[in-house]
Amino acid sequence: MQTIVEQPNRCSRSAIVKLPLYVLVLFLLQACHSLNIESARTLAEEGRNVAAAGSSQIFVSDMEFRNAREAEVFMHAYAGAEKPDQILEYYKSIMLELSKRKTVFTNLASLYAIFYDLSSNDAPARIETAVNNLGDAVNNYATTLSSAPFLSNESVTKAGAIAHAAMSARKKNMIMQSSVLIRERLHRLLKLLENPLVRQQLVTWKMNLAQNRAAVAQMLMSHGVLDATPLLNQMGSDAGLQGAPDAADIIRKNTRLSNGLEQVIVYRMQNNLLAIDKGYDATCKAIRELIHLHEQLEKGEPVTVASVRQAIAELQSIAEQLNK
Amino acid sequence: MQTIVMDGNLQMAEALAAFNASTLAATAALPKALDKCETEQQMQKIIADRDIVQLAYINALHKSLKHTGPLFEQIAKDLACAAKEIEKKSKKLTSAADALSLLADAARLASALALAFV
Repeated sequence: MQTIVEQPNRCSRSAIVKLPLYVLVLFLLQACHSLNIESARTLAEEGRNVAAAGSSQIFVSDMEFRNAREAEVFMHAYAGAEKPDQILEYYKSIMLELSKRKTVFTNLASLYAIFYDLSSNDAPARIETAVNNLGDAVNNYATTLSSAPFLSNESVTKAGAIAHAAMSARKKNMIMQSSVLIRERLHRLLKLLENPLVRQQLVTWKMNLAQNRAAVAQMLMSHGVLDATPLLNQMGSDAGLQGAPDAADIIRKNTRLSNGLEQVIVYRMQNNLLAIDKGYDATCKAIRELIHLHEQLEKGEPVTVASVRQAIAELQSIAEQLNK
Repeated sequence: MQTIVMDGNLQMAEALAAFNASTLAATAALPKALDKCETEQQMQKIIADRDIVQLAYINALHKSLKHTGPLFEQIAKDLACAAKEIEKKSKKLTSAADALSLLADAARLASALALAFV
């Protein structure tokens, strides 16, 4: 009789004890949205790649700048004119101003490095171990005091798993918030880069300096002081041929040959100028792809990095073309 | 057409593009033009003419940079702030795990101390 009376009481007590646990599990299930931590890590890596490739594509490197300034000095000295101090001063001032803008890409790369750290944070695993260790320590304490263990092994393990889940949910939530933060800034950066004036400033500056270098290369080539053998090697490579040992001498003595090669150089330089434009567009495209990846991550959709990798590959191929 | 007139940025961008096209053409023509000169005076005249075009472009670029500089500075600042915020989140996660780990260590220590008094 007693048991019959006590049964419902035990049930209701047990239900009361379990209620907070259910609430907790429910909360965790809600918090643990489908955001994929591995995808966040991949996205962080791609973000860093885009920042690095974009920066080298949009901004003039120190070597490009130095060579362009020296080209300017050469052209004037060649013509018997004075060193163009005013132009060189302007160059320096513009380069300084544009270098400050490079900070945007440096900061973007740092931001993605930190986002990667957050995504790789091992706090959930560590907290599970800590909870398990705490349970073991409490039981050891009880054993030391000759008392029965306070916690069963099973409940210690469960507590650890719950702590792991809670920490994972918290981490995912933080990744989600961080992704939104980054995405919003990427939107603004893209808008700025797509601003017609910004675009003209960065693209024309890079083109202008490239044209200086190209003009001097052409002048040196026309005087036969540049060895055209690498160019000959490239032209003959399809047929498996390379420049003859005395090719440079032959070219120097043959006007038609040297004119032909000079035109190839001019053509190549013109294509390089066009590649600067393409590189700028490719950077904007890569940033657009990154924004899309952030949106996918935040929606819990699988992050497909193929398109952003293609955009990075495009950037790298343009950089190779410019460095040839 | 209206947007070109209305939007200051676009107008400036178009002007910059036009200046750049002139200076690119002038510099590209320089090797051949200098090659055709017979006297140094002719060469100096050619390079001086090219410099006028080049100066027009770099002067315009220099002035226009003042318009867009603050926009880049603001984004650079925002990116740095976001990095700090995310770093703070990461540290919060780490410190929560650290705190519990510390608690487990403390309990272990308590157990060891209790043993000494048994």
